[in-house]
Amino acid sequence: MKQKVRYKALYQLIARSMLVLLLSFVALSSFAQERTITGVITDESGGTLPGVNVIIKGTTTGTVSDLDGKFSIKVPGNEATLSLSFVGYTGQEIQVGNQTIINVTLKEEVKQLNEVVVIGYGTQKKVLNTGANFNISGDKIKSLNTSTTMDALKGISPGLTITQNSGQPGSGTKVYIRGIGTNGSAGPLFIVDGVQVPNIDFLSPSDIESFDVLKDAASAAIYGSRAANGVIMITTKKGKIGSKTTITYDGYYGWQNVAKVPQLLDAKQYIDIMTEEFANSKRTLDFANQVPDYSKIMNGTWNGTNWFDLFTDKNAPVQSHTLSITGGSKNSSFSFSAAYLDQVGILGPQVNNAYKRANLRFNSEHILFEKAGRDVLKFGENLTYINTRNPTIQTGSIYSSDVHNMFVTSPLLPMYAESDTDKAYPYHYSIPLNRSEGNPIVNAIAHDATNYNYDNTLVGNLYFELQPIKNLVIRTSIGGNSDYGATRQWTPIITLADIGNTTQDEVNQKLYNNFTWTMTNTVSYNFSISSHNISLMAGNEVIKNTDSLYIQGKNDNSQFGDALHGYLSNTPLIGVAYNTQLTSQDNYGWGMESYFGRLSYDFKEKYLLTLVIRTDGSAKFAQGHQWGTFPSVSAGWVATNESFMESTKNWLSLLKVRGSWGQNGNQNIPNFQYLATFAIDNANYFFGPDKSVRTIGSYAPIIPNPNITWEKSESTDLGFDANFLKNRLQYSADYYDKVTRGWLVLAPGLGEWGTGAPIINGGSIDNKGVEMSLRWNDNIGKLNYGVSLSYTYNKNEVTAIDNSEHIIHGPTNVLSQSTLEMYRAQVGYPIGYFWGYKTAGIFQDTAQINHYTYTNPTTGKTNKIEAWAKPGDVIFVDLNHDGVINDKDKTQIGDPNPHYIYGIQLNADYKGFYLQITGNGQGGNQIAKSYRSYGDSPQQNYTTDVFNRWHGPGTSNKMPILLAVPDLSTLNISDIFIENGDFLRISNITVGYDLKSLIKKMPFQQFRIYYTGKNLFTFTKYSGLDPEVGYGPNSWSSGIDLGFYPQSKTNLIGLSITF
Amino acid sequence: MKEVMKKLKYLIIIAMTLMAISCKKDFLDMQQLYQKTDASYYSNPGEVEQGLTGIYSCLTTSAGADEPIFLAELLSDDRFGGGGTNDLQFHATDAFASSGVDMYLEMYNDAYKGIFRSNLLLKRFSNADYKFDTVSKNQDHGEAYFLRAYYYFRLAEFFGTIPMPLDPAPSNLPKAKVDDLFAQIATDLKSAIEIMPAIPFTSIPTSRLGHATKWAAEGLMARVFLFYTGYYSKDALPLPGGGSITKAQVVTWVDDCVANSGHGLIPDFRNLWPYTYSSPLGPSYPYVAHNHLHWIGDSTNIETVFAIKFSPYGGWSAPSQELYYSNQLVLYMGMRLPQIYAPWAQGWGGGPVSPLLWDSFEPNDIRQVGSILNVNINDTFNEGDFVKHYKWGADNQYQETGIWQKKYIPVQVPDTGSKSYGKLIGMFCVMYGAPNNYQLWNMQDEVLIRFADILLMGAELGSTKAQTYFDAVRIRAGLTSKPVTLDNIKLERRHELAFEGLRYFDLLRWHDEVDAFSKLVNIPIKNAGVAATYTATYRPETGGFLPIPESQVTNSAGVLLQNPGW
Repeated sequence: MKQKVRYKALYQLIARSMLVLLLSFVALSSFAQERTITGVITDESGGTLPGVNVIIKGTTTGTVSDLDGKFSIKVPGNEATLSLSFVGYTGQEIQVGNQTIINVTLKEEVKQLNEVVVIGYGTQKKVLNTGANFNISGDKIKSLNTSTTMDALKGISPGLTITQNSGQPGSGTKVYIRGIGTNGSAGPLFIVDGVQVPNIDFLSPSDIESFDVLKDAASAAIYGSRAANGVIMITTKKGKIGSKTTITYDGYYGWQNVAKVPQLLDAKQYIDIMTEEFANSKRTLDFANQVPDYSKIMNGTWNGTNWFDLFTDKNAPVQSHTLSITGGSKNSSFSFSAAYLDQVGILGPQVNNAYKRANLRFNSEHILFEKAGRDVLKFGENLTYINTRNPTIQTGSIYSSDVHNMFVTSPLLPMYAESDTDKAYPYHYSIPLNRSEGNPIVNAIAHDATNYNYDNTLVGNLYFELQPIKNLVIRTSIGGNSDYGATRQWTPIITLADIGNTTQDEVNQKLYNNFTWTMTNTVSYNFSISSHNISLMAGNEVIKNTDSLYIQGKNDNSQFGDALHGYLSNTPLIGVAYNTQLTSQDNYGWGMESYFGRLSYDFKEKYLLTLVIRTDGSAKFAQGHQWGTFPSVSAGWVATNESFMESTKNWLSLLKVRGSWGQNGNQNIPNFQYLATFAIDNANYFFGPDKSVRTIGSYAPIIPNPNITWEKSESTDLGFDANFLKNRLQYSADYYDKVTRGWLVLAPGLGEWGTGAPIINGGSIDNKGVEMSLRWNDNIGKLNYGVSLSYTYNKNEVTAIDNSEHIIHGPTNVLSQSTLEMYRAQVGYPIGYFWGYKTAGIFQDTAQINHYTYTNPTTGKTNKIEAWAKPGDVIFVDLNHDGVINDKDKTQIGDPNPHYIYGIQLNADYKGFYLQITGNGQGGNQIAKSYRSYGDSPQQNYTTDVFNRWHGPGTSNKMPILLAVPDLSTLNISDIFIENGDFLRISNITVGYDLKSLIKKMPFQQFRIYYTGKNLFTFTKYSGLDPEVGYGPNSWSSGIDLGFYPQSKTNLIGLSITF
Repeated sequence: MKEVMKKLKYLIIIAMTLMAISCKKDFLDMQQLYQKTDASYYSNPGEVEQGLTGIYSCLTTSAGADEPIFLAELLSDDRFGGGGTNDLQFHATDAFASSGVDMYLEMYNDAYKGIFRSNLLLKRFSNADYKFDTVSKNQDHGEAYFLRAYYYFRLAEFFGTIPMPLDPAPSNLPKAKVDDLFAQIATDLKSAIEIMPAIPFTSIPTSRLGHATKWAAEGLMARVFLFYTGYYSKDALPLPGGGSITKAQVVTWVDDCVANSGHGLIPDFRNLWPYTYSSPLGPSYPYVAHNHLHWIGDSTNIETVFAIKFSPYGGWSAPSQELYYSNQLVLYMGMRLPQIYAPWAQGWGGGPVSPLLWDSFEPNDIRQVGSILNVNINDTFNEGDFVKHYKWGADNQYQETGIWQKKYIPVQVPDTGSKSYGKLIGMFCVMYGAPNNYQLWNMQDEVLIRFADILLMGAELGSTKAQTYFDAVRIRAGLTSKPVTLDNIKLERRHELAFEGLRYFDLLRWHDEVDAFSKLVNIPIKNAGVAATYTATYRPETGGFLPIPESQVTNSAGVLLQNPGW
């Protein structure tokens, strides 16, 4: 209910703003009296500016400032307005009034109205753009000193949801534009310099020239098929023709720490809580005889092992160095950069926990023929190479997460052995109290310390641009994206506990290679007929994935028994080596062929219209179903360019109203779903006496669906941009409605089909929302400052799933062992919503249980609703009033999708000092949290939250009684595990100083030193380590906290030098 | 304007040129080169062999709690639910209740996988070119019939009746009529019996061990006949489109199997079971040492008429390893803690044995101690120190009676290898190498049709040799002859075939289930070491059948109806 009110308020706000603007169209005018005005024009540093145009507004009368920046002009009277303009500087208009001397300081241009934005296969003046786009410069991204680009954009772009998968360096982000639009991969299409790439986590933030997000269908439509979830376009840094060579060094070094440490029970607290838990189940644990250091715990000389603390890397270093060189001669320009990032994770000092990335980039452009000031033929190339090494700490599900293990292992287990007679020497073997629990750190060492990997990505393109006649540009680009790498792991013999031991070491090696090429041809032509400006673009594109493979080998008994020599060649084939494996998989075979065109029209930059059509053929589909056509239309009106708006220009610099409608497609399914195939991968059988002889079995793995075709999304956008007070205040707002139809979903297979279900076009989802951004930039004397705010409201609702129950189920055993399905996609609900019981507190005593009854209205019989309950158990709400607690009482108990996201940025600079503060937040979402498994592991540790448990009447009405046996109170998924995930995080505070301001004679253009604090403050009521929880087992699930790798709090100092 | 038109002309010409050179017409027609796609697959014996293997592979499962013999045992009166306190599905199966999850879905799906693959192979079988090798052709064809019948019969036993697709195309069918379902099973088995070559077991190349034979089809026919005629109170098995299979016909097949199959009883009942295995270091189980027992082994056991085969390729690294390549039934039925005394290794504690079964044996029946480990009896002569050290409530064992079956139990022996210094490892690790992991190291055959069962079915069906068949089984067990009455056969089946997944369906077809469960009242047990009692739950309104997995009922959109009582 609360959300609806907020939604309504937003509409009202928009409506009111519009009204104010309309009312102000009323213009005033008056008469004139001629006189002479003189003045000096200077720049911000005090230097004079020659050659500035000074024009009396609304006339052709004007002059130009002289070498000393002086000007003199006759004006008709007090009502006249002087209009000053100069290339590279922001124009100014000055009401003459009764002044005779007017000295003006022109500001260097903050790119705004003449700013060019990147649109698909071209660029466009921002003012003419009719789509809902977001654009940010690379410098802004770089200035936040994040290790990945996406991290820097949190809260900055309205409509963009960015969640870190985990706090582990290099673990990537989940990015959604305007909500989750599909049950498959809902991430946007990433285009780097025109080449499609799977993600941009590998890019160095300092290599980015500009970052553009195409949010509405009309903007994205030029990418047609692949753009249903929006497009993110990156342009890497380019040199400029005829510019002098610039060398820049950027570097920082920082210290990272866990922002919030989990409060785990110490040994004494653990013994107390376990004693209570087991007593509640009429059982006992023999601590005195089965805990090695029992007396030390009792007399307070040992507090037990804090596994999380031992696994924490304090002041984990992060460093980044970037050297870039850009420049240009008369006919050529180039840009080169080399970057290195080494980020050690805040967890796992015992294992391989560092993310290392080296980037090399080279871009250049050459004019081959020039004629009459026109570049007839240009040639250029963009090339980026990235080498990364990832940390190998396991995060994720309860079965494989090292982080989770640190939360749950008993504090009674010591880290190190007392003597070398211990089976696990130098570490401690499991203790008699729990013979199945091994040392989690040694387990992590065994699996993650000797695990090496590298990945190479090579992205680039070559292009030719021919301009046979003015404004007719023919461009051909050939690009490729290659990703290849290898992993190597040696796993030692593990002896930690009575279970899970191994007797042989193991070597595992893997190689993979993927390659996709793209060829794009476009023709564009711009021309004007009187004031009608037309820009045409047509083109075609082919994409083909030619390699997608991996090959993996595994063997036991390495000759050397160490990690250094952990290569397969050191593991001889033993007689019956059942662990010897050679696996490979090929998955190439995707291709696309596309034709597209765009017509952009404007009349005097007042009335804007863009039409786009794209038709795509995809090899994912069978012949006859391959082609999809995706049209879009968008229109805009720049009201402030109307002559009747002249008079409001002094306070309303820009008003643009725009609207768009368009369609996009999605084809993100495995290859060859339309073909009947025979697989031979996991249907072996073992005839005969020799067990090592496999007989290969075959089977038809799926029911092919020859009719499968494009998933389409359709979206409508209405918005406006308004700049006030000489562009100092900029406001824009958008309303959107994005409907994805024909989801590619696995058909609800019936068991009787006997094989994999086909993928069908069978569902739809609707994302509706409002986006707003507000920016204020001004100066008070030499203090320049700016504030910007962004806000997005999004409502996500699944509107169709084509099976009879209209549900796509989530898996079981997610929150903890033995728990049932906890999230699902269902018609009428947000995708991935948490499904479970509502609760009404805790039974305090038997009387309360006896009173929790149901009387059948027809039979008059009364029964206890929770007959199984005992005091301390959870009161589950009998939602459907039938007297029993079962699946029919389960409902939505939480929504992991944020309803609103917002960001705030403040920046200020004063005489070389600068300050920047960035905050981002979200709200309306819930998190499901459980740091332990109640079902099967009663001896797992708790956090100090356990002190809020029920342990007698009146002690708690939220957390149930502790039990050492599985109990419905904790096995049932209910709202006792759900918390609100609202947070506001001050993600970045940077203060710096440019020494150049102090020492003007320095041989540098710039010499900045700065300090940055990241994630210093997080305001949230969420009790877990970090409210930003991206984990969910499916691509469409999230917000499940099982003991997460938290984000770090970082302090860093940096240096930025330009020669 | 004119100039613009001229420029536009340029544009069009260039655009058209680009389109023309852009790409070949068949650019989008990718070829699938890394999987077989030919619609005429199964055109030669090699492909048929692969197809058949794919059908056999559905006999095994990763979902131990849904393993058919495991389920049949938990449902029976001889076994309780057990497992850990959190193994809710074990407890629910035992108590005819729901544990909330989509119960039995894996078992249901596994059977239909086998059926789908059989349907596809049978539909295309005529394409296969065997040249002149009709013996192989008939053998392969018969195996496909046998397997389809086996999977449908498995579903019929557990669910009563279910949808019966006979074509590989996807369908959404209502439940078949019971008579139609059994008619189809009967005709498939009849085809298998009639076309498969009559090669005695001893003449079959050992490399083909594990394939279904004419003898297996005859045995399964007897079991199907007894279940259908018993449970549904009929005289004969129907055939599609009229006609029937009479009891006399079935007896002929059983007698044929006994006389001509080459199968027989091995001399010592106890040597059928892997706990009698001794590593090269000698027996580590006193009971085996005293009685000079020696495991017969899987491949030389003439008593196995049809069995599921496992291998050391069990594991989690698909596709080369799969959990279901190892025997999960044995893991699920083992005791819960890693025991430090040979020969017992760790398992999941499913199906504690009822003390009533232990008590029902005749004195001198070697099958009592030969099949059962009873830690309530301080038998240090046979069990060594194990009973003394047995830990009640280990790893939260539920419904513990202290009585465990020994037929399908994980067995470990001292390691002979150099690396693990006299530790205990799985017996199959010693026999076959790796993997040394208690979840993967069980790989004994899971016997679906044992010759002793054929003899007892022959006796029950009223073969002229009924008394001979019956006595052969009893005498091997160290007992003397008894008249071959139905009551005597019932008790004999309970003792001879205990823990082999047959008891529950025997009860249902004899209509003895209500009586049997009514005896299980207040049996002392321990739950996680805490004393409690066990009283059986049986719900006659279900007819003894399990619920159709709930998702199947829902996804059929009203076509598939849930079973009565669920």
